[in-house]
Amino acid sequence: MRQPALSRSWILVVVFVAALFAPASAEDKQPAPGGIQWFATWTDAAAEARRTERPILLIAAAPHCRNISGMW
Amino acid sequence: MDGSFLSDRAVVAASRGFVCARLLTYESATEATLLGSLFQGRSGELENTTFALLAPDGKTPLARTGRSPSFAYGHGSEAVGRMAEAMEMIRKRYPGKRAATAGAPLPLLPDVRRGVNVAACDGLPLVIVIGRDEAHRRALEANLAPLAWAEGNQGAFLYASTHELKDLEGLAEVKRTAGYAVIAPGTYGADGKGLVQVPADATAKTIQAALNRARGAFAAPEKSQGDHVRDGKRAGVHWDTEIPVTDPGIPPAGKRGPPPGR
Repeated sequence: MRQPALSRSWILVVVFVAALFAPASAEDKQPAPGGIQWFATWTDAAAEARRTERPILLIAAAPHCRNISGMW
Repeated sequence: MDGSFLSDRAVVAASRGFVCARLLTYESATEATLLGSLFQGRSGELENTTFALLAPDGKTPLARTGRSPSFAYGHGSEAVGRMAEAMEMIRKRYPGKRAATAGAPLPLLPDVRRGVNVAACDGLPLVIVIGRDEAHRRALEANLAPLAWAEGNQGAFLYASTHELKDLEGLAEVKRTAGYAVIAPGTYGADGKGLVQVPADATAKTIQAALNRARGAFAAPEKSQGDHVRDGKRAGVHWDTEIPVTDPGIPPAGKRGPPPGR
């Protein structure tokens, strides 16, 4: 049966968010480099980009899942 | 998208030439305006997630902006490699004028409340800088910053700071004294428990030793999305966002939406 567009969209979001911020596996953690150290506000990130003239990797996500905190 | 984009070794290595920003959607009206200017889905509203690679001016897109890296690099096993290659090309185009992390400020979450929540989302320990007052807090932040950007610590901790003791409510085994406390977040990021704590006058060596101890003592709990949401609803957990959620895939508070994990 064809799924409603909203449900498909929801699935994509769930998969993206859950996977995007999942901690690296123990195997991945061993060799350098470790993980990405994120700036968490645009003010800080933009200032740092101006200061260092480096490009910006920008990600945004809501820190809750269906209004339940503790999960992207 | 598959899950390997931002934990892929080549992407992480390439990210060292970037300023990496992970904003909290629906937690800032100002940032919502920025995110909305970068990407809007078919709904025309700000959606849950955004991905962009931008020039140092913070405005010029360097790749296709979208809801995830898949918008720019597609799907499948080779997509991550395409992203890493593209980032390396951008690094060469924008090498920066300073060593990547020299003099970088402490990468702080907006406040302790959001810090604890994001730590729970990530399954990482949270370092809380506790100052006697604002000036003291800022001095402690500056002192900790070089350690935060040490290669071995990057991606291993999150950071928040305060000089208001009320911000520490809900955090067990954290002394209400100035210094650096590392906490393990609770399941829903509404509370936490102290792992280690060192005083404000601790040396960098002492702080690093505390970070190492905290890392060894911390174990991220396994979480399944369906169980987390179901159990959270039963427990009465509810995250209040700063601004209204507009993603059409996320039901308004109290309304039934698509079942989690489906």
